[in-house]
Amino acid sequence: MLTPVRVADFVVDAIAARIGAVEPEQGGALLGLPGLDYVTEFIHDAGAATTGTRYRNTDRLITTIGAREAASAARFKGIVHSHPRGMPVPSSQDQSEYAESLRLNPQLARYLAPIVTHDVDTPLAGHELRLGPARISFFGAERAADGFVLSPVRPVVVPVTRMLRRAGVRPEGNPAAIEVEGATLLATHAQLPGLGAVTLLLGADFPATAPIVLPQDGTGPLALAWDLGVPAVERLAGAVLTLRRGRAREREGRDASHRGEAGGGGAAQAVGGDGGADVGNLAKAADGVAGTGNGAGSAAGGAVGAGTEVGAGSLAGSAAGNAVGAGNPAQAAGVGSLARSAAGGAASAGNEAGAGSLAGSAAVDAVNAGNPAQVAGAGSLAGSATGGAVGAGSLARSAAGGAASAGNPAAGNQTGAKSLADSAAGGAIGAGSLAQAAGAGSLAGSGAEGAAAAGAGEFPGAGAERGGASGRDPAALLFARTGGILSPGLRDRRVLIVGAGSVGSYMAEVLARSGVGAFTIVDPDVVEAVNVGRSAYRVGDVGLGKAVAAGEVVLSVNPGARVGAFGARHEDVDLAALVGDADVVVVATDDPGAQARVGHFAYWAGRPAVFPGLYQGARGGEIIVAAGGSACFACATGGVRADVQETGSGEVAARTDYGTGRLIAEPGLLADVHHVAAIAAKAALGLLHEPDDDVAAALFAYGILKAGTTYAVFGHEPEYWIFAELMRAAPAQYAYQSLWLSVASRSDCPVCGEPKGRTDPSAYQEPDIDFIRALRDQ
Amino acid sequence: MSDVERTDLNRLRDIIRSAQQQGDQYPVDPRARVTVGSEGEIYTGQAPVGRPLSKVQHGTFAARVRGREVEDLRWAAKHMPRNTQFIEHRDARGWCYSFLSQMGRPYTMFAYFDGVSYQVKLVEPRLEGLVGAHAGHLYANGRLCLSQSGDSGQPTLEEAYSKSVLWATGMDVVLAGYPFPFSTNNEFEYDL
Ligand SMILES: [Zn+2]
Ligand SMILES: [Zn+2]
Repeated sequence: MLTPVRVADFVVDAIAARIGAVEPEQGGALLGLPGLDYVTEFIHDAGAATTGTRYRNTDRLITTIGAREAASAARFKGIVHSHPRGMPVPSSQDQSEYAESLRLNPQLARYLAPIVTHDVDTPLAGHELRLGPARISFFGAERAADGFVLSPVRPVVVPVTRMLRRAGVRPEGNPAAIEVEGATLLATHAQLPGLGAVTLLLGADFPATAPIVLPQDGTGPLALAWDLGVPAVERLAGAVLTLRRGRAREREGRDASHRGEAGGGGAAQAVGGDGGADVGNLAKAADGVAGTGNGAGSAAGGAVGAGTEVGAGSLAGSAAGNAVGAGNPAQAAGVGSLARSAAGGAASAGNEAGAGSLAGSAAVDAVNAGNPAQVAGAGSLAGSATGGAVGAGSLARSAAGGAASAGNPAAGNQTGAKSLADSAAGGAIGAGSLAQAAGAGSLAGSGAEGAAAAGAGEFPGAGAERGGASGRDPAALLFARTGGILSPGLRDRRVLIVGAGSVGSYMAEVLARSGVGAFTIVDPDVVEAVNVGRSAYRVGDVGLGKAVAAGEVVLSVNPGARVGAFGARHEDVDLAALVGDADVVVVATDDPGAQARVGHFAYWAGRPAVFPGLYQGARGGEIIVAAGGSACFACATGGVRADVQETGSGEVAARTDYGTGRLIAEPGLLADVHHVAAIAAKAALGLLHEPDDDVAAALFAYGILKAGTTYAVFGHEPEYWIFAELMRAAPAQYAYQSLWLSVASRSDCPVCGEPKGRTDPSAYQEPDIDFIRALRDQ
Repeated sequence: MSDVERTDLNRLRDIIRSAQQQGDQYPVDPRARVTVGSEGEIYTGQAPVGRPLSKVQHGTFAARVRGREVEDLRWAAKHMPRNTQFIEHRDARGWCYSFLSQMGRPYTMFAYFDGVSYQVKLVEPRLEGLVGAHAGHLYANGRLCLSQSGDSGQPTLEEAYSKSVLWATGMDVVLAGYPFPFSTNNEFEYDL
């Protein structure tokens, strides 16, 4: 288990841009919050005289560090520098410098020394991150009896700018460390969409806790509804949207029937295009009505135990921040956050300090406030429908949101809170059990926290080494029964799977079992209990990010597989890089925006893509195969869907929700889902080969392309849709049926049309509406 | 707007819904057709000659991506409101335009190409997040849902502009407390 170090995403971005994008060696200093393993600032040592193999910091850097330390609360944490390819470890020269730095900086408990290389072809280990062309390998040097020990440390990327961006917040520069009443926070001035100029204060445990939002007009802090059930990158966006919605309602005094309508749309509708989840339901909490039962999927009981010695909790997770802002850090304990699905989840009141909470982040707040004794009653969020995992300091598998705050030694020791583990959820881990929290390590490492960082690195699982140690290559064994059908070369191929629901998780499993060696999986959602019946997931996965859970499915089949899991929306990952790294792209999401966008990137990069999809009630489905020379996804669906619909057969495509663009969940038989997904998997396996590979799978996939029948529709019932009409003359027709159609590219298609008219997807992004407004106002 | 005869909303609704029921996105018969003028005015039936007009895709607001017109700028100068401003910025590139809806409400929109199709965002009034996405065909991030496929976009700037004008009048109706009138997928809300 590697010790974690938290690193703000803008720091990682800056390192990648300043050091990763240029030839070695380059370097700079890392600063962060005092007393915490949290890096929040990077100072590039641009003037350093470097050679290809050597970086030595300048005196100017030392001066700049001193100036920064004097001007802000940030403190020196270490030096990052680059190495030539193939050397992602500190050199012996580096190590003697670590010893010197530890001697010179007695306040430094651990000297951080990340090494940046351009090694991007080999798998990442737990202490490494990949960003663009760079690999960042994190190491730390700590004092020991005979000098120091150097060990790898695990970076946990805190998605600060990504969350701000998602929320349409424009900060005036990167947040900087300041001290407020004894607590160190990250602060920045920013424009909040629809709410004007604010000062944002982010605690050390953000995004597990809400930021403090202080309007610059001097009015009190804005209360944010902080839903830990929402993926971290979406959380601020959802909170801001809720706030705006609440304000707008107040302002316009809309009549009750309108409000009813908006609410009646339910949670699914509220999951906004720009990211709020359950925001409609949270509006009340934002208004400060604690203990209110919220809508479907949220805390029914709303029991929030106010501790005797500490402040009362509220359903909105923002109270903590407010208390800190109000200058009373001690009151920060006992803040509950809304557990979206912790129905009846009795709050566990801590004995001394413990306001119980349905979920939450109280622990870290108190620690942050410098008062570990007050830590109690902090629960972790059980993001699952089975609900109820409220355990102190626990890092439950389902503690998606709260994971960042769990595992804190102080929290673990101080708490005696009982945990209401719901065994069905497989969720809660015993109170105070640090060991267990640590035990969740591989998950935490690459799971909850990593996923929250929107850029989770690869997690090799326990696997790579294990497989190697046993001296056997599991991938080779996997191949025992596929000779002549699949090539062993699949172990070197990577598939990108966007969407890890019933189709995506199945695809991941089947491709892993077929010997595909590397996976990149992207999905922003969390496994819910209702998913278990129709996916590759198990009850124990509930609460885990789908991307991570799918990665685990892969590793459980082939521990030697390389898996990158991104708990993020397609907009929040570097699609060009992910697509570029993949040999085949599987678009297993029903979000039309994601289908079009990912399809565009794949076509542009020349990567074949497969799009499986199900029709209403899984009574039928479709797969589209798009590769160079064939029609793109947009051309295929734009033509065929409209044409088959116009045959008078009626609408077949699955309904999507207007608010989310996502599929409206419908009943459907897993067997029927798998029927379509299996054909898609077979096509994907084939496309992972070269066109002239002499194996059956390649013949199948490239046969489809050669014949130009790249759009297949499936019927799962005998009289379904167009099949009854079409198959009437064929004897003995019954489910399952399929029809392979030819679709044409439109010559003016910006994706697959005449090459000169094609557009580079990287050149387009969705403009932010508040940004357009700001431009107009100028 | 006063010099423009206001369109009969019921007639407009009947034309659109009838086209949708017949699956005819671009009716040939002028009487069954709606067109949009360069200042956001809507014509039903025979449109005046000698004016720049935009064809309207009559399909549901939730269409087909067919390709991209190349001379967008020139086209916009002739067919879009006089106040249209082309914004060219790294983070936002497209056409910002304002017009009065059939009910006289001012709307400002931003049309842009997303690499595959043309999208429109509502700039003013600020309704995103306030009007349900299904009820108003407006996503929480301000984007109009202009079609069923192609990620809610339209294949050309012409169709995106014209449909955004139609949308605005539909939104007038929604803001007046009634269901969105121009989409058969809102039909159940009419108790028909
Ligand atoms: Zn070095
Ligand atoms: Zn195309």
